[in-house]
Amino acid sequence: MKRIQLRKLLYMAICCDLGIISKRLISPFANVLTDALHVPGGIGTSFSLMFLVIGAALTDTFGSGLLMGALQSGIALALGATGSLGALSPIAYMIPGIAIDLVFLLLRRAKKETAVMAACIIAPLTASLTANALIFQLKGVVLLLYAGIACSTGALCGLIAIPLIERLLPVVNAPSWHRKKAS
Amino acid sequence: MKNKKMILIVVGLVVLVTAVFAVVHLNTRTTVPEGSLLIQHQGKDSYVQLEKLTMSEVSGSIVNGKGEQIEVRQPGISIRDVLIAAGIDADKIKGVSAVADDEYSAEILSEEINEQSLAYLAKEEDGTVKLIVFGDPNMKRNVRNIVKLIVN
Repeated sequence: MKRIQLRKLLYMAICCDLGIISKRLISPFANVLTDALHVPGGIGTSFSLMFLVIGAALTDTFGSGLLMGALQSGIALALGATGSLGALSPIAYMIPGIAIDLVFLLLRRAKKETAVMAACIIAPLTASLTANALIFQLKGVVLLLYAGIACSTGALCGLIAIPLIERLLPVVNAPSWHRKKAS
Repeated sequence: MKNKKMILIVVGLVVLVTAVFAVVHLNTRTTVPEGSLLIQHQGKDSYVQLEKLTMSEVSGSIVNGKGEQIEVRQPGISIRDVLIAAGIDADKIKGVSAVADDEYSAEILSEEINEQSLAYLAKEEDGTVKLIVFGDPNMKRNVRNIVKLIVN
């Protein structure tokens, strides 16, 4: 893994925190929707993972998704916000992080917005499938709907993430203060 | 511009497919009337009215997601008693799958129901019942809003 600038690490840390906070904020609204559809979740995680995708797109470094996933799982464990996953939550946080890294690696030649949208869809999908394998054990149409909700919410989050990344990229990649001074 | 159009088409398609799954799921799922519990045994469906079950105080401690011990003291009934109320011989079963309204389910073994008497349905303030299995290291099987018991 190439060396990551401190500034980029700070952005990644902010994205991790925002991911956890957004999940908490969105969860009452998400519960109304998932209760009506009679599925055990899938919406809050997509919002949480959107920030990981933003972080990975801004830092543009392979492994940043996994790093943020690991950090998020650490924060979630420390705060006791692991939900029904309990001690298994690090797996459920890190697998979508790996998925984000792989999507950005495979689509490195594609347009940034295409890669962001793909990551926003695939990350919640892997998260939902992991949670299903570890906890829910859903089958058939319910599983398809649960995964579909995760993908749809992820896709909608992608529409938010793309303009956010477009605006933030010039800020993240701006020359640092001391470099400016030297020139 | 063309790329943005493509992205919008993909988003639309994903949402559309999910909507189709939602319609299929809502039209094919087994609906259980409020205040009752569906019991599936040997291919037969029977309903037990929650109000008619004799609840007594269930007390003990369970472990939450943070690993902390939580004291439980609320009205409830053992799974064994629920099965007896439904006319099922609890000694002859292999286990029970407790299914929630959102299809989240937990498996309970015959020993946990009969010999050890660890599994209970506890009544919540909103009238629904949740599964409590004493002795578990986490809350994985503490399934809320149980609507169906599948007896194996």
